[in-house]
Amino acid sequence: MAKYIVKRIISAIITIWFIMTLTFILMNSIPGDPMSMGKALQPEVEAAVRAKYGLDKPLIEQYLTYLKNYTHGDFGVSFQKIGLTTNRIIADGFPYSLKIGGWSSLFIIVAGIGFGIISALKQNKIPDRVMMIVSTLGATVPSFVFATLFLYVFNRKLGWVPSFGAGTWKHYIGPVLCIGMFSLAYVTRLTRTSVLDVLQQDYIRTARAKGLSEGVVIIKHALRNALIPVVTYLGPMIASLITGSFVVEKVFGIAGIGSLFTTSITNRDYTLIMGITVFFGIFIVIATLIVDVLYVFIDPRIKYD
Amino acid sequence: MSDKLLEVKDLRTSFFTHLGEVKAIRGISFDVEKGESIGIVGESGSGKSVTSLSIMKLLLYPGKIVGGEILFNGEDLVNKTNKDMMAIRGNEIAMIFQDPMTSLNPVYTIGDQIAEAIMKHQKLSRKEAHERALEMLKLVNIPDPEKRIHNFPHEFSGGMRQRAMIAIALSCQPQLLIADEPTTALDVTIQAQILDLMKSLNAKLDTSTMLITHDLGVVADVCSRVVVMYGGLIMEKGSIRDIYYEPRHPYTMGLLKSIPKVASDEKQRLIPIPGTPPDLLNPPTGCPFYARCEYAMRICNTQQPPYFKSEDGKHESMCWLLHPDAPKNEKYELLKGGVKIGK
Ligand SMILES: Nc1ncnc2c1ncn2[C@@H]1O[C@H](COP(=O)(O)OP(=O)(O)O)[C@@H](O)[C@H]1O
Ligand code: SF4
Ligand SMILES: [Mg+2]
Repeated sequence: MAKYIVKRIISAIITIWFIMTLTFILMNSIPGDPMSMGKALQPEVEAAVRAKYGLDKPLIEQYLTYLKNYTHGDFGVSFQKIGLTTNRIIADGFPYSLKIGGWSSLFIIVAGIGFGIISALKQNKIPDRVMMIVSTLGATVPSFVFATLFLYVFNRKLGWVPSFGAGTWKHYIGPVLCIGMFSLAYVTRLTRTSVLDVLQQDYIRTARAKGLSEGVVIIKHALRNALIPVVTYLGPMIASLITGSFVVEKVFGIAGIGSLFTTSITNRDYTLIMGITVFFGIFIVIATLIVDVLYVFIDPRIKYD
Repeated sequence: MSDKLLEVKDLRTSFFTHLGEVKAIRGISFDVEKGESIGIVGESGSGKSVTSLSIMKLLLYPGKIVGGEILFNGEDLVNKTNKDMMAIRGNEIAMIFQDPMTSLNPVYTIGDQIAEAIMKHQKLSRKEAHERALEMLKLVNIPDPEKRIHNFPHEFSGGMRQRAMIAIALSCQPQLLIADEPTTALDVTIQAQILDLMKSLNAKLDTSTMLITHDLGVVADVCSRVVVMYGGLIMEKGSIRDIYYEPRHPYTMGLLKSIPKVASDEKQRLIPIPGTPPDLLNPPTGCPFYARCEYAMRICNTQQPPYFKSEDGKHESMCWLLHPDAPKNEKYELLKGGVKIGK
């Protein structure tokens, strides 16, 4: 067990190293020197950056410096603005995205799994049909359409929520719903399918044949099994929700990491792009790692030797 | 009357599919006496599982009992509510299923799964139930039970899982055990062990058994009487002797010919009955075996034969050949003397 976890941690570290290397190679294989792109840099900025990253040095040395800086928690400085660092951007933007993504994840886990179970138990009845139609919409309507519609109805028409910023809890309702809409729909459908599948299994018939009540059969025997594939999806989902969404943050005027990341891309701020990409990568790898470890407790069939 | 544990009377079960009513069971009657073991035999699709699920009232939508009675200790189960049935299932009537690989819940330990039924029906504490579960594992000969009780199903072999299923089923000392093809999914040596185990436990615990199988060879050792099913009907029923040595129904004769002769030296090939079972969406009006029967007569196609009984009334067969006016068929008369089986 401990051995399994150690093994998974080691493979997570290797994955992160791989992501860093790949990011480095990609950024360096884009034609042109980052220095020569876009508008001319202020000489002192260019000098600082060149000194920091040794851009005149051989690539291999640059790579090693890059690895060294990152392992010390320094994710690079901006090419575009003096004093702006990746760490700063993460510190500024990430709390908003974490809050939106976190609440959204919680909402999806509770509502998505709940809706999925109800849908499965009422298969082909009215609640199921309604939820399937709604979840089809949720999975297909783009989030900017949904966000705009949300603001139009609840801000413009009803005046229930503010339209811009992140001051109060009311500001978060829209972003939390919009960012999670697709995953909510997906988790609902995944749970429904999985519960329906598990209810067909022989061990459910065995449970009924023991004389257990339908409630015990469903909660104890069906759900525990049905949620295994859902948990698999949840890890990467939470990671992607927490790393923010450009569209949703833009529409609701929140300076989260999603929109800061996109801004750095449109600014061609190479070091920032690298830094945030690696940060996201680490985040997703850790989320997957947590799911893998949780899995051992959920599914005893997982072989961990 | 009082020694009858189970009496199934003219049971009819259908599945209401979008194509129409599939008449899976079309009026069957048989009984099980206290302490007795009976075999229910028939090819796949003849209605054996539907019969057992009807008795347990575990038919899933769109399956429904549409007629008849299932008297258990004189009480009709057909009219019982699900709540009433919950107190009977696993407690008075227990069931084991064909595929031990899929019949146990993969995420709970064997011990938990045995203890569950005990806690439910015997109102024992968790600890007492686990002690009882351990006894059950010993009873079904699981080696190293103190350790094995904490195993998950995937750590058990197929044969051991079926032993665990038997332990679950017998944990509350049911009056009736329904075993639906308990050995079909297992290999031959394990099959014999499981059958031996069931036989010895039935004697020890005084449980009546309904052993369902498609293999007539399996019931000879375990059961005293046999019911032969085909196309949702009982073709023939009688004692082991009647069925093995004096079969009167061509379908039974066909089944006897297809028994694998494991124990015998002669390397004889199995002779399966040619043809396929009838379509139960539009069941034949006459004898269900008509299309495959080598002795079929004109009347067989149009009229369902009645049961012809032996003198003591205990051997019943649904076949027109037994009608006094039926023309004598030499081969049939010869086979009626019994098919030699190796065992
Ligand atoms: N869920 C179902 N829907 C429709 N028909 C069914 C269903 N289950 C069983 N049947 C019908 O009942 C017949 C008997 O099935 P079953 O009792 O499982 O046979 P077996 O003797 O092999 O156990 C099948 O041939 C099929 O026509
Ligand atoms: S009734 Fe006719 S068709 Fe049916 S088994 Fe007898 S002889 Fe064959
Ligand atoms: Mg069957």
